[in-house]
Amino acid sequence: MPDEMVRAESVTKVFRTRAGEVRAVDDVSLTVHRGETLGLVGESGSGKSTMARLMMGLQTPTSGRVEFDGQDLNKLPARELRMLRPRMQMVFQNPYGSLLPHFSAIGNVMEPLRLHERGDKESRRTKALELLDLVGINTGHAELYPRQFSGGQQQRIAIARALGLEPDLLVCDEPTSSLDVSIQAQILELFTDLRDRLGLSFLFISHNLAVVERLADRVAVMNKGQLVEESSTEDLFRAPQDDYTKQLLSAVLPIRQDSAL
Amino acid sequence: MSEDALLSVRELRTTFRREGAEPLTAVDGVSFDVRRGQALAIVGESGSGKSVTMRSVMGILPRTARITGGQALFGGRDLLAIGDRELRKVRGREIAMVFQSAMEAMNPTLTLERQLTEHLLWHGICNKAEARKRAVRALGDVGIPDPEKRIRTYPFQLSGGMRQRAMIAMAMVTEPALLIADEPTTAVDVTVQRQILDLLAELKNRGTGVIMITHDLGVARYFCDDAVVMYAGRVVERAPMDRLLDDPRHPYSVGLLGSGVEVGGRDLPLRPIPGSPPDLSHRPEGCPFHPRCAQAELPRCATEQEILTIGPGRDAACWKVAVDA
Repeated sequence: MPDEMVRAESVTKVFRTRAGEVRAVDDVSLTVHRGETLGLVGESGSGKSTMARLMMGLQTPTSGRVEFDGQDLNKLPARELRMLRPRMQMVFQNPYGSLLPHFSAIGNVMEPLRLHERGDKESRRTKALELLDLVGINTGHAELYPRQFSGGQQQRIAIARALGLEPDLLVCDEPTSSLDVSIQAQILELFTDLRDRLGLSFLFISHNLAVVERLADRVAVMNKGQLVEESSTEDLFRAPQDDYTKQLLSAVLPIRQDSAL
Repeated sequence: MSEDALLSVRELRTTFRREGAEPLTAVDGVSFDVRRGQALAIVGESGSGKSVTMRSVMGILPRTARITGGQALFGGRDLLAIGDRELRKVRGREIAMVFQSAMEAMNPTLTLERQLTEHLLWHGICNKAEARKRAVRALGDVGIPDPEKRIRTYPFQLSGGMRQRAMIAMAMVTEPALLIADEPTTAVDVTVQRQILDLLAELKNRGTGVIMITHDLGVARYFCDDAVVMYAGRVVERAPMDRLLDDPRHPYSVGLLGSGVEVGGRDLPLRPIPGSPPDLSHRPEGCPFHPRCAQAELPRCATEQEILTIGPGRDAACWKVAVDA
């Protein structure tokens, strides 16, 4: 079993728009190791979300390759790629936009299980209830619809749905950015707990450096489509090497007086 | 109204009409003062009523909302009582607003020139040539390069940071006495954030009072002198900014600080507040925070509501915490 869960090798993605070509990702190599949490930070337009979609095989790189567990995502036939899909799941920034509004909470969690033909309806229901419980949703509310939950609870439901197929890799794109501070803290605790209990590999994307510092083992910094720095979380925050990383860190406004900054 | 207050809000109550149900109270007896050259932070999570409070004062509430009580004294007038005609003379001239998203707050079909000169011309402050001159100067002041040329562009032709600056220029051009900034840096990148705040600070140094609505405590600390914390439509704590953050008193403020993550705080334990803010249609009796409060003592917390005193210094709406003035 290779130590690398997903590996991008010299990946470039060029979008053709009316305004010309946009090099969203420019020759980036990035690896998420098994059981590791890799944080990916950068400002808007830095290419971090495109990078996430490339590593999920949701978009095809213009050049370069992406391997998931040793298999080249862009060379796999569609059928085999679909077999691989359950092993990589995603959590998005806007939980309401990512849930099916006309499906109940439990319906949303059961749907991927149905699509991938896991068990029968009864066992799917049991599993979905377990998952809702795992992420801290009162199972008595399982039949309610997404809009009847708060933003934080919606994100918990989206996380439960992502976990249903027992993925090896969870890609989270700004999963706490639309949440209030007190709710963000709850979701961060949930992620920490899930990582410790399930041994998941995480690609965790955020513009919030504090959130990434708390969760990630390693951090990669992107700027204008390029990877500018990559190191252990400790080193990156203690002794940033790249000028852009330094600029990013020095822009952080501390909350507490005794903050380490 | 205290002597040197620019704006004094007293006991403001705003409700929202609902079909087939009791009106929803979004702002429930809010009071605060802002002085010239002071930056006041209104801190709170979504649904706490911070934006509705400021929209009530500005008279820009949605149709379903109604102000059912209180005063907003500004320059000897009660903004809540003078009516829309008079309020229009204040809005954009003496009180200006900056919003979270310039893309939504600015008119996409008009050039910057039209939008920056609009207030000057509408209020009859100066003629068109002078208005243009002032608009160009304001764009230059907020650090937009080549303002003579940029004034002819449309909002969508600017980057997010530049657009935010243009909106600030729009608010500054009439030299308002009071600026209300609703999450002015939430939509911009961190490297731009401080530049925007420094721009606003210049305004403050020239004597403009600023009310900043924010959920970002780092931004509040960097920019604001004082803060009020809102929860479920009420002010639960008032304090000088630094003291609120270094030594919060109200259990909700303590929870908010315990939930905040910040760089360098990796090893600090997270102490999230359990549960979620109340649904305003099921507002808890007594202290609205008591169902989530670790220090709550029943029955008192569930029946009685502590009221914040009005005045300088700090105060917390909680009988369990001692507050030195």
